[in-house]
Amino acid sequence: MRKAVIPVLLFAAVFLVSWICQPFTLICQEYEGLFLATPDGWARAFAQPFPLSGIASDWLVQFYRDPVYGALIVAAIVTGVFLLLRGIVARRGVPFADAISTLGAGLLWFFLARAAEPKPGVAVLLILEVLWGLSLLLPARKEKYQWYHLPLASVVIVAAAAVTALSPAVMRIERFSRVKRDALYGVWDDLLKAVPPSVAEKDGELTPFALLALSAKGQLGERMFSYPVYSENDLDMCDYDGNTEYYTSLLFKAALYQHLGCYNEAVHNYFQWATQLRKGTSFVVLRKLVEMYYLLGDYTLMEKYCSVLDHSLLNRTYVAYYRGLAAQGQAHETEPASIRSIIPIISHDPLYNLLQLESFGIRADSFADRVLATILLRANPTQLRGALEQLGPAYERIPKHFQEAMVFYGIRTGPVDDAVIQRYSAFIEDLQLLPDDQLIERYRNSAFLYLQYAIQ
Amino acid sequence: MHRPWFPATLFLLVLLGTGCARIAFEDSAQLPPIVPDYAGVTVPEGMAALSFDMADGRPCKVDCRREGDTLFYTVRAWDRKTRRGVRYAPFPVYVSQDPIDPYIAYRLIEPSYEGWKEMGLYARELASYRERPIVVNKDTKGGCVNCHHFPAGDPSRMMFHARGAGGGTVFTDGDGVRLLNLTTVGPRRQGVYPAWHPSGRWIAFSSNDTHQSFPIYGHQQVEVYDQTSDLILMDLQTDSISVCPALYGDDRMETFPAWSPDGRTLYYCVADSVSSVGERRAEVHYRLESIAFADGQFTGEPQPVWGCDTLSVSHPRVSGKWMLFTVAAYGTFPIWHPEADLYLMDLETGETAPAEALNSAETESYHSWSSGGRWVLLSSRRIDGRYTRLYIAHFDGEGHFGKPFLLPQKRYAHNTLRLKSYNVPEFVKGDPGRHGRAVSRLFAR
Repeated sequence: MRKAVIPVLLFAAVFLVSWICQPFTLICQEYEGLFLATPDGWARAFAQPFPLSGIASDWLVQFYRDPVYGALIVAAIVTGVFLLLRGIVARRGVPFADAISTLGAGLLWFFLARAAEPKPGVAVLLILEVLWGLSLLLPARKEKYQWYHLPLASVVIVAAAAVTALSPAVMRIERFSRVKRDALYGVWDDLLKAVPPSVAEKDGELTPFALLALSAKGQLGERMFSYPVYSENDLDMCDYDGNTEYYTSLLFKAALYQHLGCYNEAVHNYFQWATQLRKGTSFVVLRKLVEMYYLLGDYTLMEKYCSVLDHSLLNRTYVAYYRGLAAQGQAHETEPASIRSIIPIISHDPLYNLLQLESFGIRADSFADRVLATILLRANPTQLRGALEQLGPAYERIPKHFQEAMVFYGIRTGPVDDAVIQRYSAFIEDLQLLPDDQLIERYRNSAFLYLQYAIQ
Repeated sequence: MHRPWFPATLFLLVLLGTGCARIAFEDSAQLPPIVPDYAGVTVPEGMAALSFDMADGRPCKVDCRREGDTLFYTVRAWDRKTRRGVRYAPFPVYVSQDPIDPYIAYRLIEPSYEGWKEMGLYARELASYRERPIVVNKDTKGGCVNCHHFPAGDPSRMMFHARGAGGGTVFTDGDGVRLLNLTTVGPRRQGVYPAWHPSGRWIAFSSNDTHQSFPIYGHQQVEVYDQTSDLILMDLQTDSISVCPALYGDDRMETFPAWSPDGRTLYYCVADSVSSVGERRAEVHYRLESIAFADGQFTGEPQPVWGCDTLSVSHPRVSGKWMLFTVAAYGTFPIWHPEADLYLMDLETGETAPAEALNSAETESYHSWSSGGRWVLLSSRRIDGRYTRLYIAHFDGEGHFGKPFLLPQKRYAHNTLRLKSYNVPEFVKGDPGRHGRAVSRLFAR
């Protein structure tokens, strides 16, 4: 009974910390994981380094879709490592076996909390099993139990829990995972909760996601400058390339074009994002391809990805849902070559893409906001005037930041709130009087500051 | 006496009895609705067994009997719930004694956009389902491997491009492997689509400046085009590269070289240069031309072979007096064009027609003749419109193709479950071997 206390405590601590502090990290591990019982899936599994732990890890990660199961699995791995370690250490009569084993398991826990998959944990577990088996061949030595063993091990568990839960790296992974989930599935309110302006100040690559959430909620023109916006890149990630930003920008663009209704470009970016993942594709990419091809009316291709997902454990309900939708839907016909040859192509200019989409009748609710915001960020008064003339009348009230740009450039294409005019007058006065840092502090939530620096 | 195994055995027997309940089969005069449609195809002697499923997913049993050069497949399919079945009319599969090359080589790659994770060149034995990697991009530090090519299907010699840092064109000769960066010699142009001269001494390459674009809407999700392209000639004896002024210049784009079997003529595709090709892609129509070749030099002027203002030609491949090529509505990369079909030309008479037996509503594109000229290997997207799969068709030497059959796999489902496309399929006369280790040593330097 005494022996069971420490593993139970450890299991409970790992489970609770993983479940409470890392639910999105676990979910995203499933998103980017892949286990397919297909010929190519097995071939890939056996071709990886440490295939046994890789296969076990890939299989387990399927359950991470529900963070409760994910946390249980992480807790089981860490506790398993503790038990095996203690089995080996205690058999050799090493003093402080409980504390040493807890420390070892705690280190693994901290490492796993930052890892992209449970594979390292599973590998350690398998290696320790072998070592434990070998240790049984050696003569056992008894270690005398001391009263302080339990409190010592408990202190180690609490310390490991605190270090893991409060680690900035772990928190950053969790926040980014939450943003990833929210962007992929359009949970915009939660995304804005996860990325308030203060967070975006510290982690600039999250700003475009926050602005995407604002545009989806129709608040881009009111709130975009509450976030640290320094260029058009902060709105659409148009210039990102290379390494981690590339991964992030592909994910962002997939979510952006899905939101804009440009499913071809969303598929393009999902495919490209997949090439950045460990296995070249993943559960979430396959699920997204099912969704995108359903929306595109290409049910044949949708069915292909459904068949592939059918060879995993926990996607059958999802697959059945989309098959049901397709059974009631109408597949789109392939356009003749004469039409295909004149369909506009995606360019590196997001504004051009928005306008081309609109010309083809693909107009998201956020179309006007994104067009005006893009032109505002380009600080082009002529284009802004033209765009406001066309898009302004559709607004009940032109959003605040666009009004600020109108006042700044002297554009008179629509009504402007008195408050905006007064604030601009104050801004002009303060521009002469205040040092830069105070000016920034006072006008950070306005287009005035951005446009002023843009013309400088 | 306690017998713990007794209830378990009884339960098992009941279970087996239920599972083996007799199924009543009704005879039907119809052919079975199977995927892929193998009814009436012609296969080479010794081909791996054809495997297929019922199109509606019902379980089935297949009996096969041979009468002369015809195999008759009788399919019995049944409904799992009602236990009622249908015995369909037997369908024939004709076995041809025309020899086929024992291996095929292809690249496996996601039908992707700009990037990739895993890709590789693979060889497949036609008598079995065995597929082996020749080289994978792990051996080239993740770079692209493409445009593999064998001189007249000789497995002992091969070339392919390995792109990326430290890359170039890899040549294998038996166990020897060497890497040459074509941009460091002659006109300093990169080689792309190759055509190995029948003598084995020269390789004609096209040198293309290739780009991709992505339509915002519609079934076709990728368009690939060249902004410029020319032809260059590599002499493997001296590792030198030369150009022919008639095939090299800014006003025309030459691509897809293909030699006649006697090596005296080079066929290729050519289009007039267009600015802003991405937007004006509908204006780009490639036509077929040829130029004479003797003693290592192109002679005379280019001669028109076939073309029209509303169609675009690619991938000419010659066998004897027959040329097979791909025709799309426009552009140079037909694999993304659902309308792309194969056309057959009699080079003696100039008579040209769509190879109707080979074509489908979806893309048909890259193809290869067997060394005996009686089989053709073609790539098609007819299963799902996106993933390229391989088909083989018999050719009677008189201008007629048999019904193409899908490259058999151990289980038909493999065609659906594989998330990679088959790319640049080529017949090979033997096992090309594995070159991964030797290539990775080249890239480790």
